[in-house]
Amino acid sequence: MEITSNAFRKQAAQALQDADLQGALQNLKRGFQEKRARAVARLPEFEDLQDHAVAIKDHTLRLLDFYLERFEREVVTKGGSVHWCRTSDEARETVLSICKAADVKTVVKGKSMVAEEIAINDFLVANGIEPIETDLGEYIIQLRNEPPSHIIAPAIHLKRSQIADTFRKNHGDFPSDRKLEEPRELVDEARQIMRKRFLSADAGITGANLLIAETGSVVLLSNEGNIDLSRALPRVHIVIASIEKVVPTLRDATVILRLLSRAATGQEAATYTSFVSGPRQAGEVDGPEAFHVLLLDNGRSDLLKSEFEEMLRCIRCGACLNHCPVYGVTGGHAYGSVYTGPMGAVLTPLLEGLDKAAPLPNASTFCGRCEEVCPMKIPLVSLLRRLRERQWRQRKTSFPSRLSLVLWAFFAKRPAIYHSLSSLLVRLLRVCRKRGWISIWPKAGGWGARFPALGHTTFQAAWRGRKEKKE
Amino acid sequence: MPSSGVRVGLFVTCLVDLIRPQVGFAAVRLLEDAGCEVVVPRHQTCCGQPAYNAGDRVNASALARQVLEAFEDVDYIVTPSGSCAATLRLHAPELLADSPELAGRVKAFSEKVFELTTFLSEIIGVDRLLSAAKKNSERTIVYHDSCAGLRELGIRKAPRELLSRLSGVQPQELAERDVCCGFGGTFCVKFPEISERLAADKCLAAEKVGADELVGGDLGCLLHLAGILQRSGSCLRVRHVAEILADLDEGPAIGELAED
Amino acid sequence: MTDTRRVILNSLKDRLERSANSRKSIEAMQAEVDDRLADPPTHPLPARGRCMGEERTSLFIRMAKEAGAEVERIASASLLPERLSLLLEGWGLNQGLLAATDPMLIALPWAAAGITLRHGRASSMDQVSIAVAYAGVAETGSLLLVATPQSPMSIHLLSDLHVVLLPVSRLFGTMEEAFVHLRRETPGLPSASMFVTGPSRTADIEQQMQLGAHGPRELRVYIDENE
Repeated sequence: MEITSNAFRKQAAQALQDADLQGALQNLKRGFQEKRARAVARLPEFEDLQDHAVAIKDHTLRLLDFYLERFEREVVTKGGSVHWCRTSDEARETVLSICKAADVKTVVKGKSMVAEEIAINDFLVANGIEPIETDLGEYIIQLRNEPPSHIIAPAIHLKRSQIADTFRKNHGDFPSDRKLEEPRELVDEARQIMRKRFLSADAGITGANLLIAETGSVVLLSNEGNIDLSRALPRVHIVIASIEKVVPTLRDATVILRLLSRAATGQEAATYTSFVSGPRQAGEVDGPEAFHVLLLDNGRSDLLKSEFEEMLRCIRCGACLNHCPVYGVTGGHAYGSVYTGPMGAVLTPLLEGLDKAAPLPNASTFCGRCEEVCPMKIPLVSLLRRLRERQWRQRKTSFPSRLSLVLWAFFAKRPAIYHSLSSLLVRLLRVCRKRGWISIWPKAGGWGARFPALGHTTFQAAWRGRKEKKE
Repeated sequence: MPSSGVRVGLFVTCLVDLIRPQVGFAAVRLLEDAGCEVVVPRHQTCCGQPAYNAGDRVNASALARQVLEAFEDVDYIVTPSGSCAATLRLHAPELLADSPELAGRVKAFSEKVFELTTFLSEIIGVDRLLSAAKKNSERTIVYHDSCAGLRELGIRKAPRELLSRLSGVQPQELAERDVCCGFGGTFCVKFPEISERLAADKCLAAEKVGADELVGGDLGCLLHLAGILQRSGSCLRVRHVAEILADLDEGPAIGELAED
Repeated sequence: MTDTRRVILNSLKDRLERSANSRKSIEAMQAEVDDRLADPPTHPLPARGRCMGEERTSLFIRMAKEAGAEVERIASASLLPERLSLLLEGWGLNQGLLAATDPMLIALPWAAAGITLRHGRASSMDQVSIAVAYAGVAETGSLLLVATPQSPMSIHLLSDLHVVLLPVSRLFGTMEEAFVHLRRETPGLPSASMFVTGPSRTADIEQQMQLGAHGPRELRVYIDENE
């Protein structure tokens, strides 16, 4: 996907004017926020589990090469194949060659951020293979040719009427006078359509929530059951997973799963939590005959041992998106990239380059709510600040910002000059006091454009005056 | 109140200094009433937060250091701003970690830094404070927590306790009170559409409460919100909590015309 | 492809400064990894999952119902065919089920209840399916269903109504306990182990929850108190 993150401000401004989107974003609060809070409150061990999860991840990252090698060994022992891919290009080519070798014509897909990252769908289509998204939200946006706007709920930005329109346009086999208004009717129609696809597809492509080194297992979570249907019915199962998804053991995985389901949707457990370990075994009548796991780097190894390593702890729960005040009014599309919200503001510049996503680290008030709700205790605010530090050092900060900050610092470091100049300025501006508001930077928004009514003098000048009076 | 022998350095903050000095005077009055000796070191300007959040570590360190050096001979450093207190208390140590010559002094410095309401409520203790003239009990206040104060320093109870026990006013709560007002320092200049929308949401919530005044502990947020309120023609008056507590709240509210 | 494998591993080893590590410390790291995998450290288990006996069964029922499953206790599995026959009649469905071929399931008096069993992979025509759970997890009200020659995964996923028989002796407190038992019997783990908590659902349309997205609309659990 070609990212448009550099147009964040414009895209955000458009999003703010989109009444349908704004209505949909309200659901985030009632839905995800409240549910998460309730689920966390119900588990007294939540904080303790967080500490353990962080320790597990930090340990794993320190020994990532060993754990990936062990994971590979276990998968191969069970009859699966592991493919190492450095880049999106290599991953796409690998998927294609697996499909070609197995004579795959249609593919059913579970929701996968990594699959979006490598833009596999368009590539498959260009090579004569039909990919069908099976997650309801992903299916809807696939029909509409839109990118996902949220990690967990990709179609959260749409209203039912928009979805009904999309179904009417694309589902030719249904009677055109059918009633298609209620969510129930929309879900039922999608269910009917998707059944046929599951049963006839040649291959299933999924992501992975976790990889377990101990048993060579891939952990797959869904509420719809579509991921299990996608992987169990076709004859080939292809998993696309980024390398930081691996954890050492089953016991480690269950710790993280307890956090993930609560942080993401406020559930005690996802409806379907599967541990998939290899292709079908002897005697089984369903399950894939071939099991392939792609291990994708795509910039992750560069983050190891860097000041951004903590970002590799992310388990893609979406809690930070759900609680971010900025995301909450702009939605995901404004970010112009696969990964959105606070985690996207950190990850996108790291994976794509700061130049392609320059506004993102700055599109934050540093309110800190993301850090508060992150189950893996990722210091998102510090990571965003470190990205800003990188921009500052590379002189990529916008010129007006840089100039004002440099000037400000120049005077602030010289208190004597600062105090005389400032008290002079305040007294001079007293002339405009009667107007109540002064416009200083007509183009800038916020209170930069409407400088507040100033007092008679500065505190420092008044304090000095008061002291002199006393003496 | 007899002198408690406590020497407090007031870190004024640039917003208070330049835009609303009465917050500084209110802080002084509150601290002196609590029996503290208050000094205002002249060699202070900014805590460095704008530089820090813009990624300019060099200037941020220099300014943090400047504060450290100006405030060496006090028992406490008190400031009427949650975000400035957080910068000096939590971030300065990290910024100055690379200066070996400051080694021993940084920890001692940061541990002395307190936001005003926290200092009065928890260090001095509300009970020991001279009670200011109780307010007209029909006056209603709604309280706004700044994100930095709330999340970095855990400031929630202190201002409310002071308002209710000292001034006799029970502050009301905003719906969705944990959501940012959209100020965010330079954020409001870089992304004004988003910033204004967040402020508008916050102001709507404040209006819905139906209180007379919107009060908070951080001038950045308050100026930002006052701007939006003024533009929408609201009657809601905005003040800093220090002004209410120190009984220095008869003049123009934030953003209102000052009489000549 | 082994080339890319080497390239990625090398870049990882580079970042992790393996070349600066002595051979001895690399061996020590491998040993650390091997030890941890051989003897995994345990992590805190929620207190909720530590109940026993009747308390555990009640917890399971409460959590499963909360997740939208129907749960009934049954004094003996032999009573199941009759129960289901009435249920199917009530819904106007055929007296036929897609069933796993677990011996204990097949041995139940289906013919006497007038129910015909079909076996094998699920098809889109199978409205009702029945299987035996490998285990239950009280903490979350979940069922552990594993892929075996007798119990293909598709029978848990394609039907509209999925019935699961859970012997009470297989009801554990936590997912971890269930895994301990599973790994004793199948050390390498089955090709798929699926924890199911309630029926399939989606909230993708205006954040309103709907059951029966792609998987079963209804999950009905019978706890066999005799087993």
